[in-house]
Amino acid sequence: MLRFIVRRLLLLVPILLGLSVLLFAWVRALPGGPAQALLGERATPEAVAAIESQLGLDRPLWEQYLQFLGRAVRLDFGASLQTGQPVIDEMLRRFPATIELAVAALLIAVCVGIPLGYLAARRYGTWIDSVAVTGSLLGVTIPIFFLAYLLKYVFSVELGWLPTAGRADPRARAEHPTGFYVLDGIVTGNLDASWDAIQHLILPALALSSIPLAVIVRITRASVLNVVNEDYVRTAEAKGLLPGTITRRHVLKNAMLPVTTVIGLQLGVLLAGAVLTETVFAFAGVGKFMADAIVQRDFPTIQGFILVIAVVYVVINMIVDLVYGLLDPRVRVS
Amino acid sequence: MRVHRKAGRLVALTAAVGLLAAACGGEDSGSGDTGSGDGGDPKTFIFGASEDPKTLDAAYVSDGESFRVIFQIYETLVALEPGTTEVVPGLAEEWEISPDGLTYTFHLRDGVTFHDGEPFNAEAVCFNFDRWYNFTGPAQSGDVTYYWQTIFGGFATKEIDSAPDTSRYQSCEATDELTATLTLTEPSSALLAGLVLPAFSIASPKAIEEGGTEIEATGDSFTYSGGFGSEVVAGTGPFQFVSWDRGESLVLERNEDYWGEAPALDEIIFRPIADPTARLQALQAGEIDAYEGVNAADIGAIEGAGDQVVERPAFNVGYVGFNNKLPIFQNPKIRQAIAHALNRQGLLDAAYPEGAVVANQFLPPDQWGYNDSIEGYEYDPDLARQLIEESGETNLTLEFWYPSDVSRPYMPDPQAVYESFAADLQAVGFTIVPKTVPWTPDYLQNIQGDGLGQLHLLGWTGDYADPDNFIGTFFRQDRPEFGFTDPTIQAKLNEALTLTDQAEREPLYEEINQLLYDYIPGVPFVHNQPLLALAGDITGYTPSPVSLEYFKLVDIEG
Repeated sequence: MLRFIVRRLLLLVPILLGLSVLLFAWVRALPGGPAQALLGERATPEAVAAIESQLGLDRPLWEQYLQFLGRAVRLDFGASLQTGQPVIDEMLRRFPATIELAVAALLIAVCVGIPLGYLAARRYGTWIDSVAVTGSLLGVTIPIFFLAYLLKYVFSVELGWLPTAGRADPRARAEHPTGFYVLDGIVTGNLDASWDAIQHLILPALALSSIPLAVIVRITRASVLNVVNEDYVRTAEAKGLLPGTITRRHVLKNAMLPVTTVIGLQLGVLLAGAVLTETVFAFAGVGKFMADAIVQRDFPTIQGFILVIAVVYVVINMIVDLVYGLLDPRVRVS
Repeated sequence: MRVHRKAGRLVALTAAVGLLAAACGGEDSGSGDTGSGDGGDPKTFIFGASEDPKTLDAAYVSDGESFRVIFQIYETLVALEPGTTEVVPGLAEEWEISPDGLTYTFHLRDGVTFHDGEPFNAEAVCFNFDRWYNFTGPAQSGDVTYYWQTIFGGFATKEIDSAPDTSRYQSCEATDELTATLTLTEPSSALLAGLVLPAFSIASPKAIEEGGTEIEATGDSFTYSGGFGSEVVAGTGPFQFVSWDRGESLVLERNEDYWGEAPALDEIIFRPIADPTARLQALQAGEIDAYEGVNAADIGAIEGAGDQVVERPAFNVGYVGFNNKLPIFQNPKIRQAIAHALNRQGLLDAAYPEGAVVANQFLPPDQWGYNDSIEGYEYDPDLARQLIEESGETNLTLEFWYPSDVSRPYMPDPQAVYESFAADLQAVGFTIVPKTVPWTPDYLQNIQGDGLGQLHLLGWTGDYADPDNFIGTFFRQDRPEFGFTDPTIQAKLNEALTLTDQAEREPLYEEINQLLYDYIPGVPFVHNQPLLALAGDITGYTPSPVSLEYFKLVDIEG
């Protein structure tokens, strides 16, 4: 197990090195280069030259790359052009928001998706099945931002039940020691703040969960359909086991293997989807920060974001593999 | 193991049920109404901004979102009459200008204190001026101290190559407790109009020193590492800083010791919502009270729901620029032909909100120096065809540049402008090749930096009320954008800048506008009125031509 983890972590080194070369080359390939991107619309050629020498951009490329790498290892990606604050500080401050959102979306996807997929398989060919299949097709194809506007229109503008934007009611002035707003309310004994944060989470989480939910429904359905036709299920039925026992011990346990893998992969989709969802809901997470960074050519932020997300992605995949091993002894052996 | 798994399931289930229950309940969510007016509830005005301010250190910024917040916290020596560009007393009650235009004596308001309790006096004023003049290193970058360099030029010691060589600033002296004397090295006609800019906000010297104002070039960028402007903020304005949670909200509260009339609002909250549709929905759901940048298509929905749309006076100009150094544009008949080929009123009717007017000069009508006797180019395709024929030009292929992914106050939809004008030009015989690139940094770099445009769309919104801010910016110097080098017009623009008497300057600018109109270095086509949305119960919001709006005048009807 330990060897497996170490091996996967070592794999990070070549991945990150490759990424760092790509990111370094990309910024140098920007029109006018970093100094021009930094100075923007009012820059004169003299100003660009001055900044280039100030930032060491006139030194040889390999020297610049080593410098970039040296700073990146220390998590120093420079300052965000949007805020003038170190990129790593900005990312750390915003990560709790994105994690909170991704966890909420995943909860919805899993808690609704698995039962619905199971139900669709067991009621194969009925209207329940048709609704689940059509609904999941819709979930995968509907653009997140469109769904987001629609949800806001119905639940906020028309019904007035839920807020449209942000993570909390700014008038409440709640304290946020951890940055996880739902948790913060519990920690500070301010349950109203937790409730407020949950209300702000619901619509973005629903919008963000649409794709993973749809995928989980379809995979669960297909997987359960496979398993219920297996010999061991028929044997169990023939033995006269209670239907509930068959479902728990034999059907679900085996059908969940592919679903686990998919859930892990969907975490990546959630991080990517967060860029859109957070923008439309003005939800101050890393996704929104990244979207703003792209619009404003805030390249230090984009570099930092990509490197951090790459690490997160590799680590998530490693965890998925580990969990898979726990669930399926055959994988562990090999 | 089994127990754990069960527990895990239970947690997941509870959370999911909680989320779903929340989705269905929550009518008393408290997020629906902005809860103001009645009884003891505080009056809170929530503004939906498009982004966070960069910093609240006024000297380091030049963008509108930073200015909007700074303008409520700090004040300047001279202020603006609300809703106009007229300069009125601010922290200085009155002032005298010496006949040579080099000495400005400001008599300061008595009994004013900064938010941190420090007294406001002449020493504090000069502390700020000296701070700006003595900026070093990265602070001398044009990106950081744009307005100081625009109004005053350079610094005590020139440290980076791009900084201006000379400075108009000589000294600031606290002659007595309430008299500050500003001395210049050369007269500047734009000084008073420029001093109303929030970049010249007078901040508490103690706050500046205690907070720190370090700015560093680290890695590939600038870092504002000082605490002044993010943690320590103290001006003299009607509202004072409370808290700033970047990306979420920035909170100001009423300054109970304000020297002027007490504001009606108890609290202002700025919420960054970058997406325009999300701002509209937040207004409709009652989560914000105001936002800027209303889409013309949304006016009906906003007004239909009982909210308000207000227009800012048009203080901008949109134009089709020519690259005058190209041979084809050195032919006056071609320039005239284009001016008569463009159906500008037709474009405005189709693609602009009500209130937009056809421009005939590079200066908005509300700015003094505007020449009332200019009538404008008639839309006349036949005349355009005739002029082309007379020009003798045979190669009539032109690249027409316009920016993508952007909406500007003078140009909400650049592509619509391009399509309309390109059709007009094709109709009289030009062959138009479209060229489109993203706004930042490509478009501005290509057009303003490299002068790649042949025909191009661009415009300008005034920073302060001086004609030089418009036509001086465009034409006083050779700029790649226009490739325009007319010595007569340039000499007159330079002369007009050194005069301090408006009565002398006004006819000069009117004459220059006539000369530009006759030369046609480009065709101005619109003065647009940017739109703001306000909740139905907001009163007293006075739109400003230069986008500097006093929230101290705003009230919420009970």
